[in-house]
Amino acid sequence: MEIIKIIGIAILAVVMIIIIKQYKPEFAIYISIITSIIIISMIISKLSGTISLLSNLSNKLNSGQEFLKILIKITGIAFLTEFAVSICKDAGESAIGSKIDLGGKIIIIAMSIPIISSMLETVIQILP
Amino acid sequence: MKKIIFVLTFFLTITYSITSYGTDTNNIIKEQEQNLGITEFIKESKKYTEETFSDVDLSTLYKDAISGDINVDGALGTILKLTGNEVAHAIRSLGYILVIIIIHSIIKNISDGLENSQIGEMTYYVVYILIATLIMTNFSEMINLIRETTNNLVGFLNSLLPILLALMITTGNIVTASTVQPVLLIAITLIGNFISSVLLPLVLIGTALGIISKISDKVQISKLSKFFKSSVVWILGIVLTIFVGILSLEGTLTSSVDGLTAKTTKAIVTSTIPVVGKLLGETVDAVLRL
Repeated sequence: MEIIKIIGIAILAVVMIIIIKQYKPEFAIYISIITSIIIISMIISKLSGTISLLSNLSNKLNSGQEFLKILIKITGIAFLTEFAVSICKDAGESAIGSKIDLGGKIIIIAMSIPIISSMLETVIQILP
Repeated sequence: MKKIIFVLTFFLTITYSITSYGTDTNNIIKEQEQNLGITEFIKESKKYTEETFSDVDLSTLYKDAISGDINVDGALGTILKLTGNEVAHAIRSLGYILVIIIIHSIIKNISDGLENSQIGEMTYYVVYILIATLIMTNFSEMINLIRETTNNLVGFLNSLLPILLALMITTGNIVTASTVQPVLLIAITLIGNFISSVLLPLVLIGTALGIISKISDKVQISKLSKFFKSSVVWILGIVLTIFVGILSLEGTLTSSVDGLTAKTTKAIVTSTIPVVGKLLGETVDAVLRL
């Protein structure tokens, strides 16, 4: 049923944008932003189930839970970044979109440093 | 008359009762305990048994053994647990790896649709590190076990051989005793030290290189790791071949070996010794046929 809701909202938004573009084209972008926010919020409530499943699974492990937390955070950051970038591109500001993309990438690298350093530690530990 | 005296003496000897001083066994046992220092011995030995036999209390075991109603129901299970400890650990690690792979597949499904390809890489890293750490824990346990066993074997042989040689000479096996030359002792110690100080580090370096080479597709050092691994096998084979050679040169070991024994030995060596068995089997065969 969720998908029908999403399709309904999207089609409604498309029709509204097409109508509004004839009179006030500058308002069309607002409608598209609001629509995407609504759709994303609907999807995120669905994602929480997956994340709780993941954390349940990771509770079974005796180590590496913090890494999986970082992994989930990274995935979330990538989601939000892509969402913002696509909005920027819709508005015709692909320059700002690419900046957001860059920021997201850098934050992801910064968050993944503990993982890489622990990898190094693992390798160094083995060496005699 | 003689007969009567004999019968009388006989009856008197049988029926004559003397006081027994050993009826109070508990006191005597306690006295013995104190004299021999058994309580202290048990206290001392608890240090060693606590790790492996945590549910066995030595002092109660001792008391049960004295009174005769010893309980050995749990012993078999404990022994099985001891022998299967490593296997159980490995199976648990396997379960963990399964969980990690499931998590990986879920996150990969989510992140595959995204444009940002870094997510996929990061997911791969995390999963790779988790699995590598898990396996490495098992692996280092195994390596420590090997090192310990090698050292123990060398130490055992070093402490056993003098007694063994003395026993052999005293029981008349002078020829056999003379076959255990100093060269053999040197070879045994040398090989033990060689394995723990040269081969094990080589194995570890090879493993570390193997882990690193899988991180990235661009950097290729898996060949180097393969080289380390195969060189370890070759070195082990050569060293053991040299050892068997020394054994055959020094001993009159081969005099009593007939064809059947030689073939059996070769088959056993070839099939039971891991990794270098094939190489060693040929050597054993050659040595025994001399």
